Amino acid sequence: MNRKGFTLIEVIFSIAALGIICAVLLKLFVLAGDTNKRAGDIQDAQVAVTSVVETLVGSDSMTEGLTILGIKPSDGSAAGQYTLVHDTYVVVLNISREPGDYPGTLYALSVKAEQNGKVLADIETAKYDGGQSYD
Amino acid sequence: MIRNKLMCKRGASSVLVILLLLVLMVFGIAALTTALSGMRLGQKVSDWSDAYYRAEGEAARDFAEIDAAVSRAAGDDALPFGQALSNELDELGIGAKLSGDGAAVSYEVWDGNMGLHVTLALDMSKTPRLHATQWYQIQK
Repeated sequence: MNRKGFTLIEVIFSIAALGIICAVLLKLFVLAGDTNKRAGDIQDAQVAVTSVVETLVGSDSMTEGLTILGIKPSDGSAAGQYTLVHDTYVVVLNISREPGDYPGTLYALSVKAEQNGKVLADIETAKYDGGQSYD
Repeated sequence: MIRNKLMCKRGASSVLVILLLLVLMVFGIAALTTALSGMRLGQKVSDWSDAYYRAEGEAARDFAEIDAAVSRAAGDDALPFGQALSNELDELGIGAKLSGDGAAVSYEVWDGNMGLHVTLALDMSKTPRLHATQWYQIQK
């Protein structure tokens, strides 16, 4: 039986090749972990934005919705820019009055969830504060 | 002879290493595929809510227009309310069902494949106020 072993060069080369292949394969797991975290962040941000929008749209008036969210409208009008901290996200609300001759008030509403200055989810909609009686 | 070949342990470690690498590769690709699916799912949910709330915004804008039309019709002394409202809504291109003291106004708004069907009711005899009675999502 041939009892000659491998040379040092052969051993070094095989370990290096194995190391490179293992590094590439392990990188797949790291990439999967990062992607999972990003997907989770996007979903959480979406939930945060949706809950804020639903609170505002579902309330009787925009000012009441803001009060439920713990925001005090500055000068009686709901229009303005507000920020909320929701878990690890900063939720930025932009509320503006849309021009038009309506009995109530039509608001344009934009809600964004940011994390480290990066927008993860945003929703744009409108809410009409009616309440006009025609008697 | 075959038995001898099977019993021979030469190269067994190489086979083990190759198997280990294969298993690592399969699990790595599976993990990455799952993560990418989660990402795509999140993106899809995000796109869906985006379209839904845009359509809801358009529905709210139409609601405001109809409310203004009802207000103008209520202030029109020259015509009966029903006739005035019908004229106002015709101008907006919205159909209305008028009956006695009230009206039911239905309209749809679309944002891509996402649509909303809204029915507004106005009962002048009970609550003289325009309010939504139906607000549901439809998909193309």
